[in-house]
Amino acid sequence: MPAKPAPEQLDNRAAAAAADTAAAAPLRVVSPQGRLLAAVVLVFGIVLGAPHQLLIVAALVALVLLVAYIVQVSIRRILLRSLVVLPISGMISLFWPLRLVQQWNLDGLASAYAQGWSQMLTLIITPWLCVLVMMLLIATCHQADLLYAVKRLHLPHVLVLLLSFMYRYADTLRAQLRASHRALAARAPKMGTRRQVLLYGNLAGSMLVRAYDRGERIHAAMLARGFNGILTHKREERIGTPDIALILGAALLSVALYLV
Amino acid sequence: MHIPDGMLDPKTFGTLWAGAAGAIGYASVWVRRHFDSSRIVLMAVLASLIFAFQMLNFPIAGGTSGHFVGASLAGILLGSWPAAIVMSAVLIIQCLFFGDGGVTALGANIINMGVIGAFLAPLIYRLVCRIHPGYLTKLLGAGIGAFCSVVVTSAVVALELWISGSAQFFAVLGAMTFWHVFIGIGEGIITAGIVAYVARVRPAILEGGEDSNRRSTASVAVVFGVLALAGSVFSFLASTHPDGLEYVYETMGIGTAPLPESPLLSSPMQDYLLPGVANDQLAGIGAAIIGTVIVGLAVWALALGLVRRRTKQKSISESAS
Repeated sequence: MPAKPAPEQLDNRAAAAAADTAAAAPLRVVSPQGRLLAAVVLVFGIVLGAPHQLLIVAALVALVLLVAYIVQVSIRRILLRSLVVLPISGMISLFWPLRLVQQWNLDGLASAYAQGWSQMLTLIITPWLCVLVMMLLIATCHQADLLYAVKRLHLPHVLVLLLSFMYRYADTLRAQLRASHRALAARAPKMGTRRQVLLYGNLAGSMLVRAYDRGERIHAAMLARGFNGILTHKREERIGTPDIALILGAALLSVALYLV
Repeated sequence: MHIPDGMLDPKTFGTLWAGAAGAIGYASVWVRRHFDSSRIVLMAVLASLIFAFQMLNFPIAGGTSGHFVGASLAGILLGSWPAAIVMSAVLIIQCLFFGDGGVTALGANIINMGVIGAFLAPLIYRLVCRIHPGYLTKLLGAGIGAFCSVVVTSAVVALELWISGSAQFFAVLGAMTFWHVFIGIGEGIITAGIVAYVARVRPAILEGGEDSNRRSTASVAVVFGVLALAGSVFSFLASTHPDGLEYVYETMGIGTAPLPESPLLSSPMQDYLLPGVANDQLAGIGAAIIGTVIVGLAVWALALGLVRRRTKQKSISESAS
């Protein structure tokens, strides 16, 4: 009987399947580097424009969700994952009105927050819109394609190599860490904090030593397979007319956001 | 500690992007020059492991939790420049694949968590180890280094937010450093634990890192040089409002009377403008670059003088003995 896959493996497969479905949708004519560049241009536009008028924000959100709908990506998933930025942006935005405080008492604070609420809102909305755009990119682009995109955009070779390895091994090492953590919890469910800290140190240290050994084995295996330092991709994709159209569209939208 | 998009203004994220690009460029050249392919593969596996270690959440005060950063560990095990590359890779993955940390703020995040963390912790580790080489000082050095790198990085994040006008300085500094003291303690304990294990089981790994650090510490100057020059180039975006002292001066009416001209010497670049250049912005950039180069040369000459003096004293003491 085949082993039942772990929940995280299922999650990864579901994500990969979703990305593949999306890749088969209309955006497929655009290369990964085109999508990445368009997303980055739009993010820069949002940051520089810092939209806070309700109508513009609603139009931007509607545009992102419309693209998600057209390329058959789960809108709910994108929206939920974009919320991850809210705790940090919310926390930082709380500090902004303190710049306006004239008198450090309750009245002074209340008046500063009353004056600064619109800027606070901008500090919350701008990061959220940017994450929404990035989530759309992630959902419509397989991780391997994103790697290819950064390679095509001439990131330093060492960095691309590192990114490729992380893509390949991070999940494996995470699963190993999770398994060790589970084994530790099963062996000693009610351990004291001091002992727990010591054990975690040993666990992480042993994983590090094993990772070094694994690195040596991987290198030997790579050399045996004829690795010459060049990473290959299943198909070469160059920036074409659809890419330029998408990037131009994102650039025009960014300029519009800046000017409005 | 990942700064999201929209928190930094263009002059701050532009400068930090330029600094990060310079640091990554130099670090990748350094790695290719000093590391063979097997060491690069080891680096890559360690990068994956640090990414996995970031799952290690530990409880801190107030029902919140912090997670392992890993820059200090990478710096101690691999050396500062390789660690900067490793952390950049981790941050790029987090930004592009998970939406954690902003695209415009990626340069800032790389400088904060990649460069500062990767250089400060190994520096403190080496200083502590130099006091009394031994197993316990290695643990102590790693722990203190990791703690300091987290706390300093959080203070730098607060500084960047303040420069960008996103927050009031003391409020954000207090909040950031308060929570990061606890996160730093967790980071210090985990880093010290890992270094303790590695020092016992496979000390050669630590020696490799120490060797890299010896070779790369001299290049810290390059990072700061790149940052300073980037800052100079972006100086035209700086605020034209008076600084704090000037503001107080004006509001109290002290500065209403004209100041007498200096009788002895006038500045060659008054008001931070390069003489002979008609365009004010270009004159400002030129003056900033010349100022940076002069200060850099002065510091370099001072450091060279100190090193030569130390070498001379050492050779005298050696010949005497």
